[in-house]
Amino acid sequence: MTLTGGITDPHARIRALDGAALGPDRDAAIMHALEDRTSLVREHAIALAARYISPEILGELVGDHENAILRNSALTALERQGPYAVPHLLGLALDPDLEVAMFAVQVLSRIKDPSTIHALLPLMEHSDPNIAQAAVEALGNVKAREAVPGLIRLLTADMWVQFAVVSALGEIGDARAVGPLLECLNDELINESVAEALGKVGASDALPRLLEFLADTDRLPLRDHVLLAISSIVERNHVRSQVAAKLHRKLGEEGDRCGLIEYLSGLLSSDNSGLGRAAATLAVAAQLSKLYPAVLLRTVDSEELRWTIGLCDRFRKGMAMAQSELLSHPDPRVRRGALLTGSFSEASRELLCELLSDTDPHVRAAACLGLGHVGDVRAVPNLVERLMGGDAEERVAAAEALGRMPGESLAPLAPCLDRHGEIEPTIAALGILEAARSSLFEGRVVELLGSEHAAVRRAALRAIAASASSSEDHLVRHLDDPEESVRIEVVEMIVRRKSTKALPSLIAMLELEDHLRYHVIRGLGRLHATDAGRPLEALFSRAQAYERIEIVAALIRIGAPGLLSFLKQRLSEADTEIRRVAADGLARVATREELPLLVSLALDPDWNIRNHAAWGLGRLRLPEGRDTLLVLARDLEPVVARTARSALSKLPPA
Amino acid sequence: MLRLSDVEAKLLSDLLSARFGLVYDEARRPFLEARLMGRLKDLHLISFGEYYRYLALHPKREQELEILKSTITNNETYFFRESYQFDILVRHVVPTLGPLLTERPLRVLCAGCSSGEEAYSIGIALQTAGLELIGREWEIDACDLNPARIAQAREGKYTANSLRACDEAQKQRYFLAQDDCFMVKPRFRKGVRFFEANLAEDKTGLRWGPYDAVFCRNVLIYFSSVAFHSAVSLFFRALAPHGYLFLGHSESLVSVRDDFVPESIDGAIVYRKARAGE
Repeated sequence: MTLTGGITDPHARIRALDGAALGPDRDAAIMHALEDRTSLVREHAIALAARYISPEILGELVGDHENAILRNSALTALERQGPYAVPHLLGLALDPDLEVAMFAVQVLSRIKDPSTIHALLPLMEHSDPNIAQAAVEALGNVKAREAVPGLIRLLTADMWVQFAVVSALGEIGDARAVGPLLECLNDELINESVAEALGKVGASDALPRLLEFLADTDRLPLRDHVLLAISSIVERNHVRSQVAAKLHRKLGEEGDRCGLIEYLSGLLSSDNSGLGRAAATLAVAAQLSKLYPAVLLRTVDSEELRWTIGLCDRFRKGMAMAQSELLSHPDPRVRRGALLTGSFSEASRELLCELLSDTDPHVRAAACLGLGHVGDVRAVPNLVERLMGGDAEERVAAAEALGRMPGESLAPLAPCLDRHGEIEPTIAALGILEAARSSLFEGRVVELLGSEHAAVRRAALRAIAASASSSEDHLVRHLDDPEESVRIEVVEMIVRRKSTKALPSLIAMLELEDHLRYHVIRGLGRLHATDAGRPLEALFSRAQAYERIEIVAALIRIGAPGLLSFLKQRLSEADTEIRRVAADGLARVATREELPLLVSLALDPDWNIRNHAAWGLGRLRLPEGRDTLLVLARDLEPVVARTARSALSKLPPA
Repeated sequence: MLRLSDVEAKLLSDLLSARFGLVYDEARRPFLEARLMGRLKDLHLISFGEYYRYLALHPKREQELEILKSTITNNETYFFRESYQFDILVRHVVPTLGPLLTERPLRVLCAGCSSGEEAYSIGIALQTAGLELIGREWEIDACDLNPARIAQAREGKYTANSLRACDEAQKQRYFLAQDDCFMVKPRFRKGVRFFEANLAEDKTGLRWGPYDAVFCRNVLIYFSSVAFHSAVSLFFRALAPHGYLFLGHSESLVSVRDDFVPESIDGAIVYRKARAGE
């Protein structure tokens, strides 16, 4: 068959293949393309084979030892068929051709179907080590707890299987494996894998032995693996104070002797994020105060800052004891890090206020944030001073801190709320009132609603919406603000407040023909405004395309009477996007009566609609949907195939 | 925290692929999520699905796509990244052109230049190789999809991060320190010009080629298959008969294209435009 053989351009060969897939020579064309010289074409043929070629035929290709390309394509296609291919693969796993059996088990391993566990269990002791290894791997991938006793027995098997066993025990994560795995830590051939597995199991029983190992060995990369395992266990368990004390004793007293502090210190300043974090976890959990500055230096990076804040939240005690030392460290990056990761009480107010005069602007900004967390109102004047006179970072930090203060304490903000004052401080002050939900300056804020600057009006509206009980009236009045961006924001605020008072006004705005109507339609949906159901339906036929799609989405949210009928009509719209939203809605509200409709949607040429059909069938959990889902599990579009597999897992067992 | 679902990721990736030729696989999903979140906030949208519908149908979608273009193509680079390739340009490509360069300038294209570090690095390499002293001139055309990056490239002002592969001597030789930033010295900007272009769509009004060398490094890995082949075909057309294509060290045309011949030069692979009949 040389349908595509004479075509040099791979994209043209794919187009030819797609054409052939619609005709009588489909299977032959696909089979030929599975061994195309270009990987791009082969990948496309594999997707088609998964969809149209039976597992039996693909299985025959697995036995073709002469043609590795064809065999590998068939294996990939079987994997893509997923649950559809499982019954046949289980048969192939017992094939007298040991290579075919091995390949079959390897594919089952990648499919990860829990229904295969009982068939795989006996295979882990197969006389052929390749099959045994593949079965062990497969059982690890499906996290088969039933396999743990057998796997533990196999820890003394030959090395080829041993590696797979250790890895599988880690994947399964069953605590029964901890003791046997610890016994293997001294085996130089597998101890790195053992450490990794212990980290995945995550049981704190392994800690004492792992800590000894960490202190006693200086061999890399083993030490790195052990460190990662320890850190994983510490993070997953609530490390009790006795364990923390043990950690400290073991590492604090003996760490320096084994060069452990130097090792951890090196990792803390390396580019390796994983090992750096592991070192930080251990340093903080074991209260290795010598390493705290190095831990805090990592917080210069914003991602590491976020992570370290979480770490310090979990292990407050250790860092707290060293806090005053860290806050007076000569390196401003350490001072900043200590401020951002530390927890502070009212007793810290004076110290933090002193740091508002630090020579480093980043430290001053961090001190502002610290004062915000303390929430002591005596710091308000200092923070307002930073708000007015600090650099950009300080002003932002001071605003955030002031936003955390009790609303009634914000009197010093008064100078910023002058209608004729500068815009930036006014907006900042309004933002603070919004965050603090303060009604302290309600009168002035209401005045600012009439500002000539749209940005000020928006900020004033947000402040009013956050605090005043009368805010709904103000919001409704500003639905006719001259600036479109303000009107849009008003609609948003009405929705966020779940305002019912504004509903009649919003519904009336459906008659306007401007861009705001789009936001009103969306807003009515999010408000679940049942009164808006009929007006929205009535608007549909005269709305623009981008509004029509939102009308459908809104009606789905509202759950209006007659929704099902409305959605069914929308399925025959010319516009694909409307059909897609309608299919989504249908999938959410369909009953058993709609099963035939969902089955027909499963054949739609549009992948998105097929995906909704799969999801809907999964929601209904009807056994009658199984056959359709098995077809969708082999869909050319991987997203649809995944949805279908997930839906299949919800159905009662066949 | 709002997350991109599988369906939303595919809808948006397909749209971005069709429009800009860029792909966002699962590994890059967090990047896409983070970049799009700001757009959702600015437009008062509450889901990525709504954002997709906005991009597909809203009357202001073209405006939004322009903003999006800058948002999702912020690829970071630095001076003298993979500098061995500039050495190959100077020591192998330029000499092979020989007498041709007495009649016309050396022409180089930097495709996907981001904020210009690569283009200036090439200029610096040519200058410091003494080519100007022997009367050689050059034109380095550098293009990118992101207008903000092009603006930054034209300004030629960088933070220390862009100079992380430079030693102190190089910083002093090639840059003027200004507050916390570094400006490329005027003599090293010579012959370098920047313009906006979408490699996935060959609709630029500017002449493409002929170039003696094209640099397109760590760009094609983000392209859809269709856009990839479209861009490489563009490079083929834009290259002079003897021309070379330089890709990132993890990128390859082997078994993918037969209109470029891989050559090993100084231990690195560069791709020579295939001659007729080759």
